[in-house]
Amino acid sequence: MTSKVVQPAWSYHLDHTWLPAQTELIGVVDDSKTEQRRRGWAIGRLIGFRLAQAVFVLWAAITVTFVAVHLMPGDTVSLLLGENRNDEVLRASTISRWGLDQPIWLQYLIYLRRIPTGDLGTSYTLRKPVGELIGELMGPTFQLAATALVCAIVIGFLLAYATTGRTPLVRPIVNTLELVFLSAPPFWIGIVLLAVFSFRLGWFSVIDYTSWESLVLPVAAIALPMGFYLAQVLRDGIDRALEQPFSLTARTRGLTWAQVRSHHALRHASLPAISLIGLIAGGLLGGAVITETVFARPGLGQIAVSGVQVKDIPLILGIALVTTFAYVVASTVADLVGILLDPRLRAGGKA
Amino acid sequence: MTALVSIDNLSVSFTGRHRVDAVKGLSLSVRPGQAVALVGESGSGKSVTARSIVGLTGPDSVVTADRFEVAGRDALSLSERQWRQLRGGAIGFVLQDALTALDPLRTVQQEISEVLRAHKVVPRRQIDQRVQDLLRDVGVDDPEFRAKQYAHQLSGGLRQRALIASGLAGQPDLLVVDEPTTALDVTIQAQILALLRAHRERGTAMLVISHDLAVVSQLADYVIVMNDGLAVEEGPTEEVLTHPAHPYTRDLLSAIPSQASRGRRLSQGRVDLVAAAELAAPVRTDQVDDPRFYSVAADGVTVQPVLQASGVTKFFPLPGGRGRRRAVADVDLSLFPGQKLGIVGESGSGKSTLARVLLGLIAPDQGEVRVAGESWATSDRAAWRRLRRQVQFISQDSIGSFDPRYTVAEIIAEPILGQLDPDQVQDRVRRLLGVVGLPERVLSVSPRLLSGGQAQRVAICRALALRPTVIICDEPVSALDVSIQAQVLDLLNELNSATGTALAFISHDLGVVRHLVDQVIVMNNGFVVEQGDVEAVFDQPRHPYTQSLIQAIPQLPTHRQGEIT
Repeated sequence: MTSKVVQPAWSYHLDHTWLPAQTELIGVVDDSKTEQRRRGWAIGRLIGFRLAQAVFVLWAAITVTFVAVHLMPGDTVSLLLGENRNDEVLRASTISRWGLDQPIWLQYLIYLRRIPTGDLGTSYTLRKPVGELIGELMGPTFQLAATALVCAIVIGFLLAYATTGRTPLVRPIVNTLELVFLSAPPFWIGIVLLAVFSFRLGWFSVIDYTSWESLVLPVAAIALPMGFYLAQVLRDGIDRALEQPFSLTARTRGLTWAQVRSHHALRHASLPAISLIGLIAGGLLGGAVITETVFARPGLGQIAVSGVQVKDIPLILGIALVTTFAYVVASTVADLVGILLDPRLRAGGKA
Repeated sequence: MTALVSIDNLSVSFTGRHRVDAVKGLSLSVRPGQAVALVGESGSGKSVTARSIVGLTGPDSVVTADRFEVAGRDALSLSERQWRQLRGGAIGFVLQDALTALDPLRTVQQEISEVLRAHKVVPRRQIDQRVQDLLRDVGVDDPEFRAKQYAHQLSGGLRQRALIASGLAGQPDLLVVDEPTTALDVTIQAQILALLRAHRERGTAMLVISHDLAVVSQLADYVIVMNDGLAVEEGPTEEVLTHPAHPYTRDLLSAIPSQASRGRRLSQGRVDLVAAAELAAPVRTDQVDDPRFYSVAADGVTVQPVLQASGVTKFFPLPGGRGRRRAVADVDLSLFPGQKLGIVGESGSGKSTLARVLLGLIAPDQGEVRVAGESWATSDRAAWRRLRRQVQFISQDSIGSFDPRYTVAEIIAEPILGQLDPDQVQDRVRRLLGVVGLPERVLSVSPRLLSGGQAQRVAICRALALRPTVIICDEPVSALDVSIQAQVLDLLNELNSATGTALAFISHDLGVVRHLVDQVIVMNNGFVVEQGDVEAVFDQPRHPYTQSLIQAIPQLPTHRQGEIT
């Protein structure tokens, strides 16, 4: 036992008055703003932040691509001259016409300065303004990407909904399909689809790329693996949300299993899914290359590949710019949707 | 009148990979206007029983009973559709912790109107009005505004009220409340209890599920004490709580820390005081000539505090750069050798931040903390290590504080590894384990397999291994069942008297503090509003905040009798 030690007299600290003057809000329960204003603030702040971020990301993408293409082997001038590459006079005039006599850093700065005016330079090989070229080929690629995205989202939600229900058997079947589509490389899926549905069964022709018919198989090749991936994320989210106390509360209110899923769990599951959709959508414009090649469709992917093969610097840079821009837009939209769905993101702190 | 719930010999089993019999033959009836309580510790089957009444024990459960009538219907033959009519209709259900029981993505309006829509309580265009009426009815001011808010934007009390409003929305005959005030601060708890009492007096029957006998005594007129799936005792609340017949009930009651329990043990068992003193007593505190603790002058011996805070202030930035909040404001405290100091306050009062400052884990913005006269701020690396050894920590979630890849032996040995040779370390660990009353076989076990009480004992062991002069305990028993809490409190108390290790004991539970400590400081909004001997502060609180805290403590009937005010 320790002996009882002698304590100094305790002084009572009653000089701190109770509440108002010194009270600061705990946990920041801020009642002064209405929910709508709070939402407006969060969205405004996010867009402002994203604009600044977009400018930086675009600059970084251009710079990295610029450096990368200049590190690629091959002489740009010889490429431009083609069979006239030994004509010294022509070589000199070409160099000055394309501004290739400038030091590389100056070429870089000149390129950067032209971007805001919408001038992306002229393609070396196609002899057309890059902006115009991209504008023409954007159409088919965008059509493919957008259709595929919509299909992937529909497939994802349907599959997730079907597999979280209380019907046995659906889940193992979908799980097997999932494994197939997620582990198979996308070009392989494209080739198989092409071989089966176009060549053998002849259901969908892919010859005339302007027809809707030709869109079916390439869309399927992109949307199926994506949809199954999305379904996985959604299902996981739904399962987790259904284990939460609020789901039990909802059931004690007399809601059906399906209602709890659609009113509560699906929304929770959508939050990670939407970030994922943002990422997928952002990558689609540039990522359609393989599918476009397999199905021989014209589009950004096709000219990107040919541009890289012949070191067409303005074209490569232009495509890098467009796909990066698509990425930034898609992820910003995903964040905005996230804010609309999740009030907790509006409180500040996280953007 | 027919009973709302009438159950004979109820059994609920879960047939997962391991069969678990959660309820083993329970009988229960709730008549209109009655409030029945199911009391028990975790795993007693009380929550499972509550869920069986709304048919939500889960897909892999088997429910059997000789008789199981709910709202005049045979529950064993109800279809899912009929169950749904009962849920939220005749039976309202309120889960614990409104922060997780309300959907965080939906407004209060959406949550409450869910019940109104599901049961078509009012026509569609009257729903908004009804939601506001319900909120007003549970004491929410400005319901129009609150209805548009989300659970995380409301304070704990408002949130709980909103949840109760959603339970009452279907005008149920029976309201099932599962741990209605757990995780609430004591003043909020008192408000919620008053609200539920008011509804009970207006005729709503209640089934109260709780581990807290004091809460039950405030609400229920009939109580069933459950243990391991069985009712061990039942009867009118006053009767059971004042004259418990069953030994389990008696143990449960005597395990509750309070003013009355002060100075006596709460649990069975005893600590080997001699071994504890030998193994864990702080080095040299007993030597009067150690200048760190005692100074001898002409007028006698002056005791130096082992832990001293002076003018400690800590700010935290608010999110989004909106200024800063004062978490701890100008706190002075002194802890003397062997003393037990309680730090009480509600959530957000700054007590946990203060603990981290005292531990030297975060530096205060103003003021300083001295350990045996040496300041955290001015000590060099070697001195800092010396101080670190003297001040140890026990948290609420000890399992979370253990490295899951370590064994229990490694966890306890870690602080002393470099100081003794391996054999001595092993020996010391084994003997310390004996002092805290754990069997040697837990040494090779992973901490994840420990129960809550065992984990706290291991944490105490680890803290004692260094012979600290002070142990800072932050809510060390808050997550424990009352009987386990009693054992851990007894252990801390006896170790304190055997070794002379001082305790700084942080808790929101005033009963625990009243039982254990010598001195207490009361914190509110970062300030110490009152401090002094625990008797003085609790019996004659002088600060209005302390008075409101102490008034809000739910009292057991036995204590009420002994306390004539």
